[in-house]
Amino acid sequence: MNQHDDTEFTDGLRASLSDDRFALRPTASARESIVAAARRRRRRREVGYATGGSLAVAGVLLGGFLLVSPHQPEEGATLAEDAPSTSQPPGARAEARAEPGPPSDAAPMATGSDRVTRQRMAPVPDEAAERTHLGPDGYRSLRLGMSYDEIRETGMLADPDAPPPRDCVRYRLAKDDVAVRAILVSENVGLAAVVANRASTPEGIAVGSTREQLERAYDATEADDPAQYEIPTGAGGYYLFRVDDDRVSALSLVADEQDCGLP
Amino acid sequence: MGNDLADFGEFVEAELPGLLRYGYVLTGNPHDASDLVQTVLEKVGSKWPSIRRKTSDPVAYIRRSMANAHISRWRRVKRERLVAETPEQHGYTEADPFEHEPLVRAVRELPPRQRAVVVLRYYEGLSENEIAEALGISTGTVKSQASKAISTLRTKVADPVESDG
Repeated sequence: MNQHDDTEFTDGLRASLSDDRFALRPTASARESIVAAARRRRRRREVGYATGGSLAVAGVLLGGFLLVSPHQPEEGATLAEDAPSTSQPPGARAEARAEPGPPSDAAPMATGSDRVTRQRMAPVPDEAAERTHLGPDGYRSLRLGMSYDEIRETGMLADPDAPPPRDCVRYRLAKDDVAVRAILVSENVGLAAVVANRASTPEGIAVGSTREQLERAYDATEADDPAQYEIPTGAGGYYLFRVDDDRVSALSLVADEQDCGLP
Repeated sequence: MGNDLADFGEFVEAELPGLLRYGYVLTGNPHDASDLVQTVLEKVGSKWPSIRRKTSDPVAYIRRSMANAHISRWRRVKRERLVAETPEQHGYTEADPFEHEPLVRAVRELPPRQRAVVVLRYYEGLSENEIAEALGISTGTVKSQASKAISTLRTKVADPVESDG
């Protein structure tokens, strides 16, 4: 199997793959049906955006409900009460929970994403909400890139006497932080990743969210890798979503600079 | 929203034959090719203005997307409308056009990722680095997948009876 053989073989392969029998003729209606389907898909997304204003504010609230398992009802109740709703008229929360209806005439189609972006800046002031909030650069007082000593000083580690990391080590957080399962700390770059359990992003996406919700929240296309979405947070990290069966199955906040073998 | 999608329509018209052909090489059968092209183009079309803005080469973007979608074997429900004319629509079942092409048949039998690497390398003419970037895998993985694939293909072509399985 020398170089010459290799070249000959791969030339043959090139020729085979260029065989004209691979040519397929588009149907007469192909262009039309693709454009129509694309338009429908876009309209569906815009319907999402049109109601997105109130949905985004309620996202934290809904996230809280969805993420709290039945055996911890008190937490869900706290979240529900404390969810910010000041920018919305009284009816908005109820509306947001109802099934999204047809788009409101008042909702401008083209500026849908701007509306959502503005809503994303809604503050999450209270502590209960903060505990389920996986921010763009960290979780509670943890910040991406923090050294192990700094992490230990936050008092959030389950075992404050755990030895510092060699390479990359996974540490559990104290159990009152139910929204986050663990963190990954690198010997070289410090806090490399926060692995969410029930925490949701500021856009209201969490484990259990649908692919549709994820794509809508981040205007993301799944085309690159349908099982994995990496959404830069613009704050030194990115949200890494794994999607199985059209639902988010795992969520982490990952530092841009890390050496823990994450994508 | 009419205008930008009219632009997209023209794009589809111009690129569809090439994309279908690529889809066929990639998936190994015309139905999956049609399915894959339609699925990816619908998504692209629904975000056309933004993809146009962010991507200097939408065709390359679409081909990468198709390779990835193919690898993950991700399929929505089967389409009712196929965008390519395939033999069954003409009321007959055509014999496999590649029945007597052991190399093509062997490519078709490769695992999806190996096949995608082979197609991107030898049909699309991408470099190992470009393939790694397109598929989100390391260059080392591209090399090892390509080498595995080539060695499988060599074996099957040397002994085509085996690939008839």
